[in-house]
Amino acid sequence: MAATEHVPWHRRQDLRPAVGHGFWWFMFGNGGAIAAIFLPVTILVVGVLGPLGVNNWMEDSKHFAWTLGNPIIKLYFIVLCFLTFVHAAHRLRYALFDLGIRGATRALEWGCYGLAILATLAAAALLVVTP
Amino acid sequence: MSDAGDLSAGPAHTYRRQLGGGWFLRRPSYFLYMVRELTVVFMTAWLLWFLYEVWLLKQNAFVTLTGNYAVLAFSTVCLLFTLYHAVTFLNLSGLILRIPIGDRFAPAVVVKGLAFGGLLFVTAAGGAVMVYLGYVKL
Repeated sequence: MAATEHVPWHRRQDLRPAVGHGFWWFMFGNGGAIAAIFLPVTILVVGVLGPLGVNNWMEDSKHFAWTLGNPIIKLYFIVLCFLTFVHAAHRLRYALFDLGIRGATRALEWGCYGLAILATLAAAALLVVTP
Repeated sequence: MSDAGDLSAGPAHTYRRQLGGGWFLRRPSYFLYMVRELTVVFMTAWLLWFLYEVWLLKQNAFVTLTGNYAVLAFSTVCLLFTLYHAVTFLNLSGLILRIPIGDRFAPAVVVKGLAFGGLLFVTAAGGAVMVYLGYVKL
């Protein structure tokens, strides 16, 4: 019986790293951290304190437009949207698995991540052209 | 020869317990796990609402949010879920982030403290800037 040829681990096809899987986990981790740190204050000031009468950058259309005219603010919201959407896509994809939806893995992945990318592109386009 | 030692007898049987769709209702900890997973729905919903307000601004149809209690109620719910996400996510930072210091790693409690310190700093500084921008005379 011929001896099986030894193949180093880094040349074995069955041990190739799951680059795509790692990429989405990486984005999930970063998105979760950025959303955890930056989203609460944004919701607090705009959505809670604003309606209660505390002046802020969304006080009226003049202040809103003036603040959104700043490219750094645009970039901030584009990045916040992108990372939060990708984080949400990854979490939802695994939450659906936990809820018993275990078929059509590829379709679910494309659906979740695809929607996140499309929503980011739409958000970026809107933020770039506004005001 | 017995079946126990015969690998050609057929595929191995696995005895994985099947979970129903309502498994997370069995224990409070399971339920809180699923609540944590679904926090992203509220975070995403709030950002989509914000983008809707940007779109209204673009259409010259933006109306001030002062006194809008529907927005207040919606945002309060979203804020609670976002804070739940923040606390549970940053709580894990001490386990996940491995910051090398020489031949050792920074203690988990230090990493966690930095993460929550960052949240507090961004909330205080970012909040102050956002409120200040509302007082700028245009």
